[in-house]
Amino acid sequence: MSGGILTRRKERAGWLFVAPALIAIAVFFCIPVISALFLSLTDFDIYALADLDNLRFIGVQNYERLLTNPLFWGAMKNTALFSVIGVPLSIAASLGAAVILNARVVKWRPIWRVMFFAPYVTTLVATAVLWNYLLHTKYGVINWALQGVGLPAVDWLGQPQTSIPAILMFVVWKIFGYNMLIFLAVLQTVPDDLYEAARIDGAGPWTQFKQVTLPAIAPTLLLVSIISVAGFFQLFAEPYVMTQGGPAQSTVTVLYFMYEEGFKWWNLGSASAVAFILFLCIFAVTLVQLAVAKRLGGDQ
Amino acid sequence: MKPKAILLNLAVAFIALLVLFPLAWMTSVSFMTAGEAAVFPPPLWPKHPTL
Repeated sequence: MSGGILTRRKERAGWLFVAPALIAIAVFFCIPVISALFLSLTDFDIYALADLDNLRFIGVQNYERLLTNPLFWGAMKNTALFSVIGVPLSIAASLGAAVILNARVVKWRPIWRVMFFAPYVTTLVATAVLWNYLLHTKYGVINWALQGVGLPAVDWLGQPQTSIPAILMFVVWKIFGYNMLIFLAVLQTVPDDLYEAARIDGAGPWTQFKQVTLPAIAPTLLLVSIISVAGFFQLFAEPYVMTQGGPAQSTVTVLYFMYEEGFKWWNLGSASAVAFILFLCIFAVTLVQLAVAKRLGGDQ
Repeated sequence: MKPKAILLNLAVAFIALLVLFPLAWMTSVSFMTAGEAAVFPPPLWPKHPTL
């Protein structure tokens, strides 16, 4: 009998201990998400802001209207382009830097590590403005370097074909240090014996990378790719600062579209619907990634 | 083993140059007079450093 009371008391103590965290999650996560879901089913706009009587429940009309809006599909297409090019590019940059930096023969490794991480910890808006100067058609350092080797100058942020690659250059430069640190951490856990055994079996650097390094870091690779996809799907500040969505709407991402819908046109209900569609997209892609990882892992 | 080590160190230094150049240039430009950065070719170093 006394044992039962003791467990109940322990249980209550446990709930008390987790209560602060649960309350914080409820207040700052659950309630906003549920109200956003409710908001996305109403026509909350600037009239409703003035007087809540103007708020009407309109079911899924926001979603229907979005799915027939070519601007929304343009934003979806741009976001997909950003992610399809950006995620592999940033992962390749991070992994490449990590593998090179992990080599024993490289000197002053902590110093390089700090240098590679520096862009990640500098202010996003400041570096975005800086890259606007670097990418300037006339006075930019990048075009100066291109012309120095005999290539024509490129109007990086001024034409739809190059605006996404230009912003991606900046994004990859900015974020590759973070994933590099994750990769470095996991690369250091790969035992040297495996490389030694592979060398003795006659494996070159590429075979060693493919047969030893990749299987060892596969779980981390999955984690990094999931985080990267979520990050690239939520690209906003970079196009907002560098191009304001232009030229010709070529850098309007879903989040940028949501921002304009919500805080330029004050269609907050519609903006909430955009947020939920984006959430569903990220969720779906993550599920696909997990399924692919499971399939690949099952083969080995 | 020796040439490989040199190659890897050079590769790291090259990446560091690419990564740090924008930040270094930002610092350099911050000491230029107004409008000095907007010429072609872009100046790497301020002519008359000023705060």
